Amino acid sequence: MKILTSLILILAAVAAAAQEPLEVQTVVQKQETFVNDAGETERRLVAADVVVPGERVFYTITFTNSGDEPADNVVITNPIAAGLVYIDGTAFGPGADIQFSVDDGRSFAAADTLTVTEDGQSRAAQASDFTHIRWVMRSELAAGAQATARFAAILE
Amino acid sequence: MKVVNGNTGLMLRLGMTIAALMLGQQAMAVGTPAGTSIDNTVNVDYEVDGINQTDLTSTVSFVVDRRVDFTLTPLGGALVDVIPGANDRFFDLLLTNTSNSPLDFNLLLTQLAGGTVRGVADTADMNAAEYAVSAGIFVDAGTPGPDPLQSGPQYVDELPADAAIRIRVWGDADLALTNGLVAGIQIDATAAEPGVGGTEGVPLVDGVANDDLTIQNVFANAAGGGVEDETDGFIVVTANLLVTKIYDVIAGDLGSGLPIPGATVEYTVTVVNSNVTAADNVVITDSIDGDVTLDLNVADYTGNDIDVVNDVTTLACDVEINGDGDGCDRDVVSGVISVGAADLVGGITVAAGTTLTIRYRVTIATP
Repeated sequence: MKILTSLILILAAVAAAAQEPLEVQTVVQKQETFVNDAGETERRLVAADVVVPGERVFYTITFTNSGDEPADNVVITNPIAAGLVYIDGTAFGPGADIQFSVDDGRSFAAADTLTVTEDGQSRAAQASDFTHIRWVMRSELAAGAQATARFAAILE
Repeated sequence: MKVVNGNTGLMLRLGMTIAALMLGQQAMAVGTPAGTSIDNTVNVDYEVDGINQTDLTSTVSFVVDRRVDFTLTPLGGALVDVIPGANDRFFDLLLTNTSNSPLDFNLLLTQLAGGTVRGVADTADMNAAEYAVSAGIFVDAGTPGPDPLQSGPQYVDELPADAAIRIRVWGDADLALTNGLVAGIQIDATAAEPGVGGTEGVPLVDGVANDDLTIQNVFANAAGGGVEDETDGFIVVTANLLVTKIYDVIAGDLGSGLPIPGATVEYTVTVVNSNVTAADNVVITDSIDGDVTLDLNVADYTGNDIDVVNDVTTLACDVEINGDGDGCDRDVVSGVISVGAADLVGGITVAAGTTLTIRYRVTIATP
């Protein structure tokens, strides 16, 4: 009986893993300007169908808890792809502490506390020094809840 | 642009890491190369009931499109001087590819029909106008690459990003062209599809939105449309010589001031070049009347028979060539003074804005 109970628990664990109650989706867009009906110039995000060097791209990461249990200690880590440079101040994530790495993701800290060593001299890290962005959720993500993280980068 | 979205496994992540490492080694002088896939992968770590769950990843990618940008500029600082009858005069243009992709360029030569070049009205055409590109790229800080040859290629083949190439335009000046005429020539450069070396690509077309399978073109050049044109040209310059001849009675006139028999008369021939171009190989011949005799070894002429002053410099005689023993090659043969034909090596040059002065003295025969 004990063996059977253990087997049931194992099967239940496998099923839970297979369900992957947290779902994540990433979208990339770019910004364009347009003239509205009133003749005013406005900006909007559009699909990044045509992107050339010098343009800004915006990443939106959406994660949804589609399971029945809350997700705890949710941490989203996004390496900044080669060819992109993070734009200072664009990382956004309600309910999350936003941290950055300047050492390829080995360590993370708040942007204003990071330093880099250049020519033997330590200096404050700049946006172009960041290699990774991390969002650390301050509280659990309830079942059925959805959260968003966003940042922008410029294509070199 | 191609978008991939969804959860990814370890192999795909490893592949992306390798791709990212390779990309990091590429030169990006003019931006990320067209065709590069920019892959953004996000990782989500979380727990349920205190139990760590399998990390999730999501990747979205886009392909960098082609930013078409280039410049076409003259290498010279002014219109090229051309003398009537001169062949194969040329000017150079520099085509610089500031796109994030190699490019071919189609070229077109057009002689201006009116308009201006370098602020001067176009008033003439050149004969046999043609162009060719260099066989090598232009190296700005060092050797400027090989000069284009007239038999060279007439399109630009696979010009790398951040590289430049020289385009040379030649023309022949018709002998009938007159001073001050200007011939402007326009070169049009059209960005064309690269990828096949040794083959002239077709002109690029502007990108079509939502075409996610090919690299799309975004024209960023100053004139737009992937086409730039530049004009330079030639200005006809000729020497403008004014010849005058006067005489003065300087002796033997018995106080009359008249060229009477026995009087010594000095002829002064002046050749004024009032233009901006030197006149080369100038030869002055002057027939001496049969009733006068050339004075020889005039002391005022520094021992010569004929005094020649090129602007402010007195020209010494060259080496004796005709064997008459006077040590000078300016001689009178059959009653004709000839200055310049054998004078100095290469003849006499009357520089722009200068005056050549020739003096000689004769004595009027007495009956």
